[in-house]
Amino acid sequence: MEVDTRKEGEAMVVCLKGKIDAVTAPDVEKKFEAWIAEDEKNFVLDLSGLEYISSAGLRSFLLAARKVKALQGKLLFCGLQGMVKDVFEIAGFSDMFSIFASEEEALKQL
Amino acid sequence: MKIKNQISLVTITLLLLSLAITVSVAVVAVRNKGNADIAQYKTDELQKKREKISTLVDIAYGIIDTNYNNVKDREFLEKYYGYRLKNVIDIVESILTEKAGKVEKEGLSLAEAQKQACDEIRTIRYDRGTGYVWINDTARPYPTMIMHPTISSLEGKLLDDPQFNCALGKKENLFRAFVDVCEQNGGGFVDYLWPKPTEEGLIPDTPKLSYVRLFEQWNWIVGTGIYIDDALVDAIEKCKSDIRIMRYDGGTGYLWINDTGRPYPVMLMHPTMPSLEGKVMDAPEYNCTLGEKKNLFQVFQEVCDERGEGFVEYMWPKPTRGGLGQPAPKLSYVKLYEPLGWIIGTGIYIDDIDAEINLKIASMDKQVNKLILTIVLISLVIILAGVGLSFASAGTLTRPIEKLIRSMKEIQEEGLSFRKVDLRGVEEIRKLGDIFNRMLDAIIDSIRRLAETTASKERIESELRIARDIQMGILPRLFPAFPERSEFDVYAIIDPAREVGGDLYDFFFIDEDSFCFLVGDVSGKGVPAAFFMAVTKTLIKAVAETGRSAGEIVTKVNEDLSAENESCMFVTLFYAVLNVKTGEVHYTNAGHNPPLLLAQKEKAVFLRGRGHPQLMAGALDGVTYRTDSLVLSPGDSIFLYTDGVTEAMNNSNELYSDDRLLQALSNFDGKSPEDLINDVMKNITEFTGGAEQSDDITILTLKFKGPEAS
Repeated sequence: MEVDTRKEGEAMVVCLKGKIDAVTAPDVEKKFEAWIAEDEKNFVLDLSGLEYISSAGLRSFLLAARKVKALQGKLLFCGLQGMVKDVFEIAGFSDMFSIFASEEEALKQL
Repeated sequence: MKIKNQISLVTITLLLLSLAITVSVAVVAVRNKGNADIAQYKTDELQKKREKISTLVDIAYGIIDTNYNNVKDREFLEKYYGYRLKNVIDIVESILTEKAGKVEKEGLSLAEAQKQACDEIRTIRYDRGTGYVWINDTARPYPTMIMHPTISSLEGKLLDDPQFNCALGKKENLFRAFVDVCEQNGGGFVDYLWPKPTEEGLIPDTPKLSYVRLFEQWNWIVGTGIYIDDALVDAIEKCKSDIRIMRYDGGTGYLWINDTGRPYPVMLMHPTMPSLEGKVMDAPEYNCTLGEKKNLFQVFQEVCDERGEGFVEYMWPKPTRGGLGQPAPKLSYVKLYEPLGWIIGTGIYIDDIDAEINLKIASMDKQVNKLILTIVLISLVIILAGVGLSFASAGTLTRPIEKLIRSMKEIQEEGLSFRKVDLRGVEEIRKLGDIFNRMLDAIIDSIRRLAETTASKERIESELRIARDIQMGILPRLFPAFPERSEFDVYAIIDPAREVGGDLYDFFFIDEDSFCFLVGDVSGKGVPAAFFMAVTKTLIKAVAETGRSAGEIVTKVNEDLSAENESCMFVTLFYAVLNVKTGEVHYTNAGHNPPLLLAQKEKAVFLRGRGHPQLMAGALDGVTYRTDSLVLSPGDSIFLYTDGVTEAMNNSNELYSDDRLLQALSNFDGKSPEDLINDVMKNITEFTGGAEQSDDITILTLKFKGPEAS
């Protein structure tokens, strides 16, 4: 798994690439903890490069969402495709999270 | 070789080396000093001897010269010989007086008395016959010879022959000179030339000194004289005897005289070997000079020819108490007395110098030996101390190493048991001991931790095995599950990726006709998932009851699970209830993979329900789940599975996928749930080809057979 970040105004754009499985999911959790510790609270997760996500990966997103919610921040998703898009749909994440087709659209919501 | 011995050996070698150097330096220094002293001693002693013998020869030379010159001195001769000559004349006068008295008192005729006197006086001889007395008268101008014992032809003759004009060095007639002396002084000395009577006859014109006296009663002049050469011989003999008695050095020192005869000189005087006197010194035994072995006496001569005097070194028998002994080195000084053609010499044995030198050398050797002994003794003490010290210091080096070796051996033989090694000594040794102890400490510590870890792992593993048994135990695993019910057939398989897993399935009757069956997948794997799975399974069983729809039941389960769910664990669920009489199925899907409907004579189809997918259970409270429904015809099956199936991976990281699952289920007709599941499992195993299973795999298949079958 690779993680690229950049700041876009108030938001932090996070590009996740590769796989998020039971092994790499804890890394995602730790990174969110670190970012939040640096006073970040608005995130746009670009999953266009993500090939695979397991249930553990979904859980890490749920944990992140809970922390962001507590800070009254926002966690937005974009670039879902392939298996990841399917998993999000099957898991019912589409109801739970704000999902956008592109990064620009997501940034407009902030 | 042991380090200890090696160090000691090196130390001893160094000490011995320094001992050898010290000894040789000391010995060389002492010897050099000694040899210099000895050389100086020899020079000094020789110089002393040279001075001594040259002084002695000079004294002898002085004696000879005095004697010899005395002979030439008229006054000396008169004084020295006059007494003797006067004595002779005194005797003659007494004879004449006696004869003259006989004439007066006994009436002897004058002529007879004179004749008797002449006869008696004629016989007087002294000085080996050269001394005699003659008588002449006092006539003038020339006296007449009355009696002459050696030339009787002169008796009665007038002594006017010109040959007698040889007196007093003035060519005066000697007899007239006698008369003159007697008329003036009654007697006196006159010197002249006169034939000398010897065994070979008369030697003419021999210098003579005579004493004459007037016998007044008869007017006779009586005289006697001494030949000067006899005086010379006397003087020479006196010289010889004077020199002969010159002894020094307790009698061993002497002087000798030889002449300058050529080719070989003649020995004139030799006090210790009188037999040599008069002999020509040409015997081979005299070829004894140092070096060229020349004839000793010829060398004396050479030396005197060149410088008149000088030193010569040679070998000569040394006089001892028992006579002459072995030849010994001798140093001689010779000096030529030219008037006599004599070589005066004296020699001094210089073997005493050599003897003294030998004594000194012996004493020096003794000192050197004493010195060596002292140095060796001191060095021995030092070496012993050095060896002891080196042994001790080598010991301090090697003892710790031996200790370490013993410790290592103990460890090798008895295994690791922490026994600290106490190494003392130099810094490196202490460090070695320290590091050894720390290493041992670390090894023992890591072994202990390994043992602990292993034990803990074994404990956990055994606990996990028990947990697995428990987990499996809470799932219905006895098939056929309901042999008394013919309306349906159900089969399930669960294969956790680890000992325990987060997948679950369950089936049970809620009431007589309602058969509940479900499959779930807890997020994550392992123990936390297993706990959550057990909670979920128990919760569902508790919540599921008649009169509640599937959606209501899952909604209730979600409420209970999400409450206080700090860890955000969640579970995807497919929950369904079959009316075994009608084939109606009411179901709800909480974020789970859509099951496959295997309707007879049709293709397998994903059962997606109405509307969009719903959120998994436990993630968010307040979610309301809907109930979907369908009706199964007899022979239709529902195939429930977790994502462990579709996401099974091969070694190329490819997913098993929905497509392959559909392919595997393509001819399901007539197959029992068990066969169906086994076929799919076999297919999955073939696909993964031994790749490690990454997720739990769970499949549950229900086949509706229809009420009429019962």
